[in-house]
Amino acid sequence: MITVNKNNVNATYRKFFEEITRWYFEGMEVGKPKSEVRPPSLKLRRVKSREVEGRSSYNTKFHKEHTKEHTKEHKENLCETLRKNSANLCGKTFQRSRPTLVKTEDGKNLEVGSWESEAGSQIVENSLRASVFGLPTLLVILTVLFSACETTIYPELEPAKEIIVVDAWVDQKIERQEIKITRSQPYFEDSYPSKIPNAEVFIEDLDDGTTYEFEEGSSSYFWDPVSEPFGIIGHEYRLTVTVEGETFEAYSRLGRVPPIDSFRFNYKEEDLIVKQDYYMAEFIASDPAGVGDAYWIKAWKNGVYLGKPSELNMAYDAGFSSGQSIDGEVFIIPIRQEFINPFDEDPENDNEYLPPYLVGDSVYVEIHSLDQQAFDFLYGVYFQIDRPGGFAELFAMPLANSLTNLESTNENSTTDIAGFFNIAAVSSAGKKLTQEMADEAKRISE
Amino acid sequence: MKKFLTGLLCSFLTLTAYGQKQLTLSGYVKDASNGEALIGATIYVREISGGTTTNVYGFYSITLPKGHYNIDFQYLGFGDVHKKIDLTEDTRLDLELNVSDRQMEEIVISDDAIDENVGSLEMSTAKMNIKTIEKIPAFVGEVDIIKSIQMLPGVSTVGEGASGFNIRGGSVGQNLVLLDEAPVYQSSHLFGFFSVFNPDAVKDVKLYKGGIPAKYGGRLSSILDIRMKEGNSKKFSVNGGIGTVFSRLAVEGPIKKDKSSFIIAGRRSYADVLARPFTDVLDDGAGLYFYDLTAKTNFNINDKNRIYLSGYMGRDVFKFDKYQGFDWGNRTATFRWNHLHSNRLFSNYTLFYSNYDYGFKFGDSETDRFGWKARISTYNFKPEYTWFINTNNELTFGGEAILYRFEPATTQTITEGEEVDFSLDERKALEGAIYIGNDQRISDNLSIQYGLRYSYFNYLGGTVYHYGDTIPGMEKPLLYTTEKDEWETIESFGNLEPRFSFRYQLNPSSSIKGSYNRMNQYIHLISNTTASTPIDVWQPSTNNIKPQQGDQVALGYFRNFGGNKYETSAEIYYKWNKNQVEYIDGADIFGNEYLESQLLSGDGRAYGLELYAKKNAGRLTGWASYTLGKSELKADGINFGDDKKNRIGNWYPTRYDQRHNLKMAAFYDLSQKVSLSANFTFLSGTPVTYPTDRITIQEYVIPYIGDNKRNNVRIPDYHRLDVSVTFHNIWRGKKGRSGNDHFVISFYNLYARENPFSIYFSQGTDRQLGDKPIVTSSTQLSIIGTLIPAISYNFKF
Repeated sequence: MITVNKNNVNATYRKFFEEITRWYFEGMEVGKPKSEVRPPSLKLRRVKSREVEGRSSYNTKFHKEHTKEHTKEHKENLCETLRKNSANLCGKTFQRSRPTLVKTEDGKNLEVGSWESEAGSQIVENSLRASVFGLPTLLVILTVLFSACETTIYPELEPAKEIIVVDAWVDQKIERQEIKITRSQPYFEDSYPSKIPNAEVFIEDLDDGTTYEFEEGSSSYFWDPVSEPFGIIGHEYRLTVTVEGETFEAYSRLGRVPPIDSFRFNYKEEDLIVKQDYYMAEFIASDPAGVGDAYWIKAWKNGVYLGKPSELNMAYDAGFSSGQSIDGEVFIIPIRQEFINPFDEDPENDNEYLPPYLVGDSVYVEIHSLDQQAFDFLYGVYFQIDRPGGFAELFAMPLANSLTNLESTNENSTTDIAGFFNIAAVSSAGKKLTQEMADEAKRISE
Repeated sequence: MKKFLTGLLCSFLTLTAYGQKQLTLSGYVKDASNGEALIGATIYVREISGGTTTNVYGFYSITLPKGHYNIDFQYLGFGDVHKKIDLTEDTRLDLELNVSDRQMEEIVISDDAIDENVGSLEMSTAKMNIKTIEKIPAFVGEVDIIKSIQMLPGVSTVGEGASGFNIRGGSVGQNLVLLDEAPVYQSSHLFGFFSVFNPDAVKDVKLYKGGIPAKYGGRLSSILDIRMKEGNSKKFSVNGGIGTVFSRLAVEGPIKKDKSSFIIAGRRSYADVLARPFTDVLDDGAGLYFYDLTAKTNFNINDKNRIYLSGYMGRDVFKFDKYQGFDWGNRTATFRWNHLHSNRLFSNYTLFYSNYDYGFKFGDSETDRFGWKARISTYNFKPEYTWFINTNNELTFGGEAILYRFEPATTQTITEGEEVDFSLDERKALEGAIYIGNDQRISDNLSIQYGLRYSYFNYLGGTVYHYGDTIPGMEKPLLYTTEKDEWETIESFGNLEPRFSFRYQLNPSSSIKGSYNRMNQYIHLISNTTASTPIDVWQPSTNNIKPQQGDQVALGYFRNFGGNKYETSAEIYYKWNKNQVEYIDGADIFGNEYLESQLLSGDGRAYGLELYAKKNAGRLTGWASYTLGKSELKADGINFGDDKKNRIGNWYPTRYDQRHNLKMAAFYDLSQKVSLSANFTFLSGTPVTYPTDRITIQEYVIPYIGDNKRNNVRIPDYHRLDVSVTFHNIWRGKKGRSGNDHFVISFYNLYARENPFSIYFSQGTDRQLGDKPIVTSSTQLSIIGTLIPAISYNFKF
């Protein structure tokens, strides 16, 4: 199941085909550029959060007027609406099945909803296995039938608009907080975007009136925390950017974030693409009770950030979407596991992959809280940037611009602007895979 | 409305009252070799320089004043039958025509014969008989009905791997595909590579692109009417073939000679069967195959009554093991009763059921698994009447009642034996229609067809979602929901659909035709992907989704040369559509309870020119078709350019907009034993959206489209040449062996062009270490990028 949510089923299905495609192209060895091949694990696409509480999305006026009430009533509304309107999702049909106990590394018994624990991992595991063995069959037919191919091309594009881009993701880490104000570049230009100088940037706390001024630096505008982190959880913030004579505003609520309880490593036997036994990392954390929290989960392996488009990992409460009432639970297994395990091509051997984790490797995870609009933004971005190619293109969505929460204060402005403002609380933890943990994981798997 | 219809009916009644005593000649025309009814055979009465054609059941009726007549019965590829009839009383004349030996060459073409191309009232229609379809070089050697009709003007597809077909700039979901009257919701096997219809069981294919008669409705763009064979009523025969992908077998024969017959035809892909001895991966229950089974039987109860029973079942199965996989398929069942109320009033009552579903499942064991299914099923009753009033009027009237059940997502998960259900509610709707139409011959030169259809749609019972307004292109906020009883009406729609067409014969070999039709479509195929796929879902019109409505006018010039040896036509059309379904950016259309909040409503327009030339006789036969077309959509919230405030949309080309569409097919008989076929396709590149800029957010490079354009660039043109060689009578038909056979070698994409399917933009899938700027590129994808040879062997005895 991976997830029992109806919404994810399609995603699962699509993922299925992405995997098939990757395998197919590898099998044909015609992919140029070489398509990425990952083990056919089931990774899910997130499902877009829904505005069930009836807010008028991205309507600045509305937003301005209702900011405070909105924030306060936000949760009640959402719960109420969910209860009223999604009865068949929340109440009628969703029967919690028997919980199972998962032993965590520090010996505590952790209660995990059974639909997301054992069966989940079994299915993930099983589908991995099954796909690996089932695929050659598919290849027999596909190879006979088709000879698909991909070619990298650089078509001529319309002139770039070089619009203002505001990359404002501020968090509560005690480190320099940067807001990048840049210009977009022609699509094929592979260079760092350049800073737009002389902008005025500040963030106001709409609940207590504090103002945070951002200074201009060499590549960005920054604010350095002294001892206290940026902002207070639950407060609403307004970013104001004045650039080239025009002022833009964006709003974000600083959401809460749960701690990461622990990590586990699961032992996997050698398979068709990873030619040695390996370990899959998994973090354990629970969404706090109350519908409407959203998170961006970032991971690092040995200090290297896992930043592939396919590794973009977001959660709405403990699941993938707001329509899925997995609230106040341990994150569902794909969120805990699927996106924090890198599968990188083995530079030495074609069609082989480096093991995600081995003894001595370490994993580090940060959970950043997301404003709901920011969740929507990232969701849209995911579809635009994760393009595995091949047969998956049959299922691809048309290219479209992603959302922005920045709006000009001049109602009649025609200035193009892109980017997003989010303010996040952060929790983090890491773990190194020791020989003892590895042995234990191997023992459990047997 | 009622008054109007009654009035209309009365005016027809009066038509029958005048003149001298009218007598009726009627009956069935069949193929002498197998007893199959001949559809569209002409009955030409020399004395009146006119006549009629047989209907889809092979029935004809012609009412004439008392007298002597010379009547010719003709059907393409069959020898003419000439009858001298002394019509002194109502006469029943059932006839059987014999196949002419060399069918194309030896057609006796008399100057005054009725010619279908020039003489018939129909325009914007295309007929293909199965013999022609079999000759077209096929992809991997598999004869394919949907692929064959794509050789005709106005018909196209976005590329290999895309399901369905596009007619005159319409979407895939705007075609009504009927198999023995039952709608087939998904016409593809293995995505779009093969169509689901077994050529062995198909008799006749007719496509209506415009000038659609009042008896058809329910979709905006086209009606593809596929009729199955009835089965040989003379003797048993076996038909089959071994292809690269499918093995086929069809058995047909009389149950009671000339009274009753049957046909059972099946196909199955067999790569998995062949692979089984060489691999153990299939032992686990894994498999990848598709199959279809078609069966039909008919009983000729007496002169006035006959019944037909037909069924279809097809499925694509991709199984990774016993508990994991993905499958989809159609099932249809049709019961029909032909009844002659009199020799001038023909009726047919049809009851049918049609179902399309797909599902996939993951799991480990009976107690730990989950599955997801989506389904649309239809129950339908359709009475139809044809009243052959006199030689100048043929009145059709009838009705239709359809009950739809939509199950957008049925999801179950079983965890340690406990079942949890996440299904979305079923949606139900009732569609009804009544229609009346008349084919009227005004003079020797002018014939007209006019009709009116009243269609009605009732969205029934369940949860009603009420959404608020928002900025165009944004998800609509859900305000509240209400509950209705199971069969209570939530929303209903009713529409009048006028239909009109005329033919003016300039001279025996040329005519001008024109038509207008309005269509309404109440169910919508929801597809936001590049190509139509088997997982697209059907959705009824609701309080939030209005029915689609389309109007079309077409005008054409038809001309034959060389005694009907060459047929040519030129048509122009213009279509304008309302309430086209579009999607907000990033819409989530699968298993989404709040789907309607993400749909947009837009306008569509399409126009074009279609040219067609066909050579009917001689050793070299074939045709060329060319379409110059344009297809556009406009919806607020999409392609709004600079208008950031109101987001009023501008016109943009549809994903299937193709400016030029050239198809050529040629068949050459080298000798009695060997024949060659070739076909060539040229399609202008379809539009895609190109970005202008890249924006960098949190170390991800996101494409940005300046001015919020949609489909602003064309991918490179598509062109392809296919050839095949057929060797006849290799083994069968020799040394006293009965029947015939042929062996086909075919080459698809002969010059191995890498035809683009799409172009996409991405930052790639490499890990970025942050030490250098991210590289962006675009990738051109060809689904089939090479020459594909194939062989197949077909037999009949």
